[in-house]
Amino acid sequence: MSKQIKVSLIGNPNTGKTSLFNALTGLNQKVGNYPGITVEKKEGICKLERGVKAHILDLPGTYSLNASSIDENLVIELLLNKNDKDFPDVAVIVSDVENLKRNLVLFTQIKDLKIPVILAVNMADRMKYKGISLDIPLLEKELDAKIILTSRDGSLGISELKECIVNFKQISTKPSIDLSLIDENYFNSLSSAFPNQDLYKLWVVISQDANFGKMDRNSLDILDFKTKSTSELKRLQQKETIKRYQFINNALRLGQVIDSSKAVGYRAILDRILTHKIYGYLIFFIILLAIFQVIYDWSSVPMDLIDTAFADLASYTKEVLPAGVMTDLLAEGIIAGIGGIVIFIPQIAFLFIFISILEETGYMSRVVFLMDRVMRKYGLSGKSVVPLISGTACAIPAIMATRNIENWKERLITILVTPFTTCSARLPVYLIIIALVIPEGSFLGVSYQALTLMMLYMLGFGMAIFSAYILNKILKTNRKSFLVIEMPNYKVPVLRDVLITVFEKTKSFVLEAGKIILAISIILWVLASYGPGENFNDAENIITEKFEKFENINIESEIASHKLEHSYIGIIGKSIEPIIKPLGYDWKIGIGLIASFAAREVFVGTLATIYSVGNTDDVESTIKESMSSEVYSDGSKVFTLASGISLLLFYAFAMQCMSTLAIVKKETNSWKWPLLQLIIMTLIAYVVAFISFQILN
Amino acid sequence: MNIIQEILVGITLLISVIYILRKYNIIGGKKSKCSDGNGCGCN
Amino acid sequence: MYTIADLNKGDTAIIKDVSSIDIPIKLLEMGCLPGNEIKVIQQAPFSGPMYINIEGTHLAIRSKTAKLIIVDKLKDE
Repeated sequence: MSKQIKVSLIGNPNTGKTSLFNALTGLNQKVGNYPGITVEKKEGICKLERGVKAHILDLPGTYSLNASSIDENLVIELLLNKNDKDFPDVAVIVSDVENLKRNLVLFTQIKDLKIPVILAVNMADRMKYKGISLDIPLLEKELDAKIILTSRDGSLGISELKECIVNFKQISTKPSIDLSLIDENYFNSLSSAFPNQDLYKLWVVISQDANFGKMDRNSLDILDFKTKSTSELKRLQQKETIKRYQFINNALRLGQVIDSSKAVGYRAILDRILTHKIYGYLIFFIILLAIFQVIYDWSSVPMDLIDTAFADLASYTKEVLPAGVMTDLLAEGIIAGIGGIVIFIPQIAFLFIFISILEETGYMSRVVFLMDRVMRKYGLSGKSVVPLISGTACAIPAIMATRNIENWKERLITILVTPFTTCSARLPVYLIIIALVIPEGSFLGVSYQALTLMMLYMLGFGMAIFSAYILNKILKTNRKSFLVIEMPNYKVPVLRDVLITVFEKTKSFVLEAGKIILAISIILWVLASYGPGENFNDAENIITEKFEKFENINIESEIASHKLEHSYIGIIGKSIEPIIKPLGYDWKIGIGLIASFAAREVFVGTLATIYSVGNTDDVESTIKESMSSEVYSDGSKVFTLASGISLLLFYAFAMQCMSTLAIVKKETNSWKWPLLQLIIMTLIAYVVAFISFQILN
Repeated sequence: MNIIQEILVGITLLISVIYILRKYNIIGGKKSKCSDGNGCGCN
Repeated sequence: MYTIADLNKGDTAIIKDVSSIDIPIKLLEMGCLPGNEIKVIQQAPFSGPMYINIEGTHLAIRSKTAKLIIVDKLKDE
């Protein structure tokens, strides 16, 4: 039977910790959730020697045990709770050779918690380019720890690291600093009041309150021990930090030599251009535009392939399986539903590849720096940029990306407004309606159709910013907001890490959104294929009778059309018709709108079914033709410029994505916010669509 | 054969509906979301 | 009394006092301590964040925070 050693990977952000994790675990990793909170739990298995395995937990990057965001808080909660099943046997502290001094703060803190630690000095392959040299044996003595040099790509130090982990029991757990030197009276009285508790651990728990608000104190019941005020506690924290740096500086003075004349770096030059007051912004926008252009160009090929593949699969299923309702459900509901999800993978994957590359190179921090001022005006943070951009692929991973925003209000506003950005799913709806109702012609060389699309995108962003502005005025917070973001050195991204990130993000989309979409697709199919009463069940007879005297009528399509009208979903569509008529929609569009609550892209598929169902000739007409020839009983067209624009605007603003609502609920831990989103966004959509239809009609 | 198909559709429908209801916490499930023993944040 | 917010792009200073309790502890832990040298690398327009280098740690902070950190400006070369 193999033993499992519990290892936690801890370290500052930007130290390549995740690269190390990837090097140790390869693809034996999985991402899940911590119960009750929304931080991602990243864990994996690493094979050590002699059948021993290590269970490795990649904890969120943190600068110290003084948390300033929920993911940093997670680290502390874990390290303070010996009973947690993930409490580590040994902690590998990952540091960056260029920022060793700062990284060591966390190292000394964790060592003081009496957890066995190993110091991994990562990116060691860059040492000579920075003119840094380390006397490892001396440092090991001064810091009282085992030190291993590693590199991001896993070529250096991995086997030594594994060996160290196996021998974790031999690691010393002597503390780095003597707490009583900070304030003798206070700490002495603390230790006599709680003789059974570890002193430093007590101190961490007490001082948490001064920083980040509530923290679960589990078995430590020291709320009564409050002989210091918040500001006094903060002063003690400052003294502690100064003490730590003294300890670290002493060690590094002996064991580290930096010869800056040998340092080669492009950071200064790159920064000068990329954070330039004017060019910095220009470059950012150009990069954004380039990314979007490339994404749409590149993803159309795989998307067409997927489309065809699933259509083929659906017809194949119908041929091969015995005829019947389940076969129909399989082909038209399930396969079509899955196809509708899979088809978005190329777009989403490409977008995340680009975002991941930008993050891995270090450029994203510069973007946060550039955009923070603008964002703050609307109640957002510079860190909101990544979620807002990601929202153009899919709001779900975008909302998950808000976890690193420190301030609660800024984070909440970002979560609430991100769904306004034009996500991939709205695109098929936009494209078909634009093709249907926007006239040919161009303005300054750009077609009206392309312009309309661009304006819809801008509308999405504009609305996001505008509602952030409003929310900022309404929501009150007493927590001060601050921004402290590290500007890491520029690095060449490690391909393996980018690919693993993209895989994980795309997987979260497919699983989170996908399952919901599939379930709702099934339900909708059933609602469209069954109906109450005679009208539905006797459709064949009714229609045959009705059209007995007529010639040149396609009986099949008439029956299908009648059935649809009297199916459950048809009844629902008809019942909401009075509400949507003022917006220019008929009951068929109404069905499409309802179906879109599963996923917006379902709209097009649903309409395809509805309109082709009514027009099943031997000659297949394209969806566009079917829709454009659709008329009301008085002969007037259903899809006019007015109703088209109204529909476009409705989709731009309505909150229809059930999957997004589910994620918002999860991330905000309450029903209040997603419900508000649903109601208010749908209301806005209705009003805007109404006004535009009435004006244009 | 038709009956079998109808039953299958019914079962699929049931699973879908239950899945949606569980996803939105409208009904509970056998598998609790919280695997941590110390009481969790399931509000 | 000079604070980081009063520095311009390219200036160097020595940190003198970080005792204001509104300074997030994170900053101190990143090296913003009395006696350490700070260089201003860039200033975002319209009093946006400042991009600074403290003893090798490169970071960005908002001007609100910069106003709390008292420094001794070093003479320009």
